[in-house]
Amino acid sequence: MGDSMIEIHNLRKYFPVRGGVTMRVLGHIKAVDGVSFSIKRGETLGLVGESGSGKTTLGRTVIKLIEPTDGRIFFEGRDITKLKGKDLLPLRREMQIVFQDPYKALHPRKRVKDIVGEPLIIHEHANEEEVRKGVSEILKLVGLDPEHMNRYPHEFSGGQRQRIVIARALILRPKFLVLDEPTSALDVSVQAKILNLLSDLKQKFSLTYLLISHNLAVVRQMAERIGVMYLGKLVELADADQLFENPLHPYTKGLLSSIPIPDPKAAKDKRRIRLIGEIPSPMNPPSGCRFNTRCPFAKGICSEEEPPFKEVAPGHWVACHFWEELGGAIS
Amino acid sequence: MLLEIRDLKVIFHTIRGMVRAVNGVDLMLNQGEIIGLVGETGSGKTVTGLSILRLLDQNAEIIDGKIIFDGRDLLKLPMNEMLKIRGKEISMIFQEPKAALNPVIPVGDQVAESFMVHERITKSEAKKRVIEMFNRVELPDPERIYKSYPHELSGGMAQRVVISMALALRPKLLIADEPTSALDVTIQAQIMDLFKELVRQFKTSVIYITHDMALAAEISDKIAVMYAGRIVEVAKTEEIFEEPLHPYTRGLLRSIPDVKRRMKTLFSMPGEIPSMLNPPPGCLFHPRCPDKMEICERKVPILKKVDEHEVACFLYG
Repeated sequence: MGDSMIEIHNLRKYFPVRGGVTMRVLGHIKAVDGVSFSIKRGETLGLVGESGSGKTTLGRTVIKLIEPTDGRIFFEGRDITKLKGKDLLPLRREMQIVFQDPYKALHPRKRVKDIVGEPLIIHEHANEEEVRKGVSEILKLVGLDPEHMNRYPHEFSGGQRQRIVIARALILRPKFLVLDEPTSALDVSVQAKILNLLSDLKQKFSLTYLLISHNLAVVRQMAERIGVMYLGKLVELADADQLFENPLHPYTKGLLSSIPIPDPKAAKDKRRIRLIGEIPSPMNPPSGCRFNTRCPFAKGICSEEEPPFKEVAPGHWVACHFWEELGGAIS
Repeated sequence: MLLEIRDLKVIFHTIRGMVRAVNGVDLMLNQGEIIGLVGETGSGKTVTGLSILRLLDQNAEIIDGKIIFDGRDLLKLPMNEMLKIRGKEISMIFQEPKAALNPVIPVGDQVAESFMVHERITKSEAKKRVIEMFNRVELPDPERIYKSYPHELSGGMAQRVVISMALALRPKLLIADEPTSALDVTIQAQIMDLFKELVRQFKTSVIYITHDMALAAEISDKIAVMYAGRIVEVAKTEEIFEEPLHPYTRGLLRSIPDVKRRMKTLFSMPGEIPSMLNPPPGCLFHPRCPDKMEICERKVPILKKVDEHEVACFLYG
């Protein structure tokens, strides 16, 4: 237990859906619906899933940008679930987030120095000179010219802007970083640079990452362990190699076989599991196993009973009634 | 030869100056062929696609070149002729399916419109054809979808509607601009399977515009790689992947993270794409090129045949 950076137990986040003349609550979007995992110190945990799977909500709830509806969150062994307002402030130094779109994450009318340096003023009451020094140092570390600190965001390219976002997240030297689709808005040649930078910084500052992405190749490259989310739940969790070489959940199998492969020969003899239909509404998730409406292998029990999330091999967790029988379905 | 683009040059007039978005593109497409037009943001792939249909914005100007489609130069056609070609002979699919649909008209009526305009048939006849098309794109419950508004459809379903609209009149050429980029990967796989099957069935020629080499690999017979407003390499899909010749193509392929194995560090090309406000002299890739020679800073290389490829690079003479 002592070596875990983050632990979450049965975390839930429901968003009320209001409507009608009185704006009464009509139902709830169950964005995250009972997720448990831990992230070890120095580890990168990857979280994959499609739109609406709840991965972004989960990432934000873990660092308390969003209040959880239920469940518990531990940071370095300390229960932070109930922390609010001022009590959260010291925690913000320790955990930060990098958002997907570097075009939206930066205030267009603030200079880089003010954007990146603001945390120093809030948390350390730094003066002008200290801000300048801190900003200059962190800009160098993320590969930007400190001379450019007086420029505005629009003067930078997409890749450079994401470096600015990363600099802002790191200026207080946090221990834990949530990376929410950090390269999805970038071109592939720029993506490679940002991913390499994130790996370097992790080494340099002994960081722990929660990497959220819909891009399985990116997660493969960065993460030691990977969790697969579907409709608010974790359906599989395993070592990265295990997950890619021996996926057990039918959803993981379908997801992996949907990835286009940059090799025309391999693409031709690739065996595919095609998932039918689309992800259902998180307001009315299917009964039993939530994946049963799209699962090519679903049987009667799947729509009646929710499969438990259990450890079927050391470190390999899966929630499927028939994982054993389906073992050879893809490989 | 169905389509022949010769030395296409497109500029954009902006407040900061003139942007050379497309700077001498040559591209040829045979009947029934699928070509992947691949490049990063700002490489000019979308502008090339839009130029074919003459759908460019007001501030854009085609300053040079020819676009010969089925024996006619599209750039010289009067607008009323062009209108007959759009949708009937050449159609286009865009990235955001919902932006391509009118939000206040039922989607069925929108698809029916192309039948009514181009084939002059009644609305009830058109509706029959639409339902038939909806069946072909595997939309569940076509009658219900016919009456639906775009906001009632998921992204995947909306893209199926758009595909049915684009293929309704069996065009000879389809320009697909990142049609699956806004979709999740499992839905993308569904749409790609459908798209591939339909264009093969209808023998439609396709220009498939994408930033994703892997998607291009799955669908195209050949691939054209664009960089900074020019095509730097064209070859059969297998050739491009087996033996990329242009240093940019090589770098691009090496930058893609591999799902099959984890690498210690990803390969990354130095520098960034040049500003098209004041592009560098000579070969536009030379500031980032690992194989740069002295001539590259002075002269612009043109596409030349090398083995089975066409490549614009002085490494090959």
